[in-house]
Amino acid sequence: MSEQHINRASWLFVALLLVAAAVIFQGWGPAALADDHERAHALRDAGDVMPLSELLRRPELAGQRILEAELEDEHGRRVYELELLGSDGRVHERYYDAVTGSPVKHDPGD
Amino acid sequence: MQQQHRRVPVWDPFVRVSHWSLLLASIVVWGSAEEQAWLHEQTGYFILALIGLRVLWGLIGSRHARFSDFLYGPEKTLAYMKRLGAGRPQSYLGHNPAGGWMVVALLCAMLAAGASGVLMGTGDPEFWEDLHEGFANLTLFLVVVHVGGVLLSSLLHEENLIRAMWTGVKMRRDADV
Repeated sequence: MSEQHINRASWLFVALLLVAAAVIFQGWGPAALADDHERAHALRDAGDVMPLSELLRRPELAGQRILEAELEDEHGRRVYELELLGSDGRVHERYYDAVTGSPVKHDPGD
Repeated sequence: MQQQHRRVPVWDPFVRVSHWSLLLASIVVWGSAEEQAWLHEQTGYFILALIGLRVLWGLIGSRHARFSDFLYGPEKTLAYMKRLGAGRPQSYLGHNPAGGWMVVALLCAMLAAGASGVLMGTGDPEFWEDLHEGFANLTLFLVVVHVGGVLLSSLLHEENLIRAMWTGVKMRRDADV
């Protein structure tokens, strides 16, 4: 290829990169950019998910030490992921459906 | 010939745009890792798309963008490292052998970080998360070595390699090219 063709091909690749960026970031907006805490609060306030405090009133969670709580979107299903410190000193993970509050099986990814 | 220095085009537009876009995206992906899932994941996909295009361009692109231009065998690479150790490395117009392998190492580390990140949504999230963080840390380490190599090379050859990656042009004496 000549110098000129190479240069044109190079700019074509730049354009392809821009197209990729436009497709990937098309959902860009305040909601998408809000941090995860804000998003979780917005969902809770809208009544789309059960507040964490209500979930923690479940009998098997009462009195447990919660190390970490995350609200995750697993293939369109909102799931609370809790890390608990067991009395044996080990860390356990539990998953709960964030809408109904019912436990979901250990691997929400499947 | 009285002309002392010549401006030689080295890095084509896509090499430069992809290089600096990758730096910017890496900062965004690092900064959004903890609290901004959407931005983190989309930027991760962008990095994977960029790597795909860069690898393709490495096969069909301009002279110094091609892997075949800057991937040297163990002998040449060791010879380069020896002379670098002695403080007088051979000068290359494109990537030197160490820089060439750094390009490959960085692309592989980022590809592995991206792939393990995508796989966090499947199977065993803990396993993929640990791998993802491991490759992200490896990438950061490689970036530090990369920047060190660029600064060292710039000093030893008395040329501004950072500016060359921005403008695409290096200055060469006629005899050098």
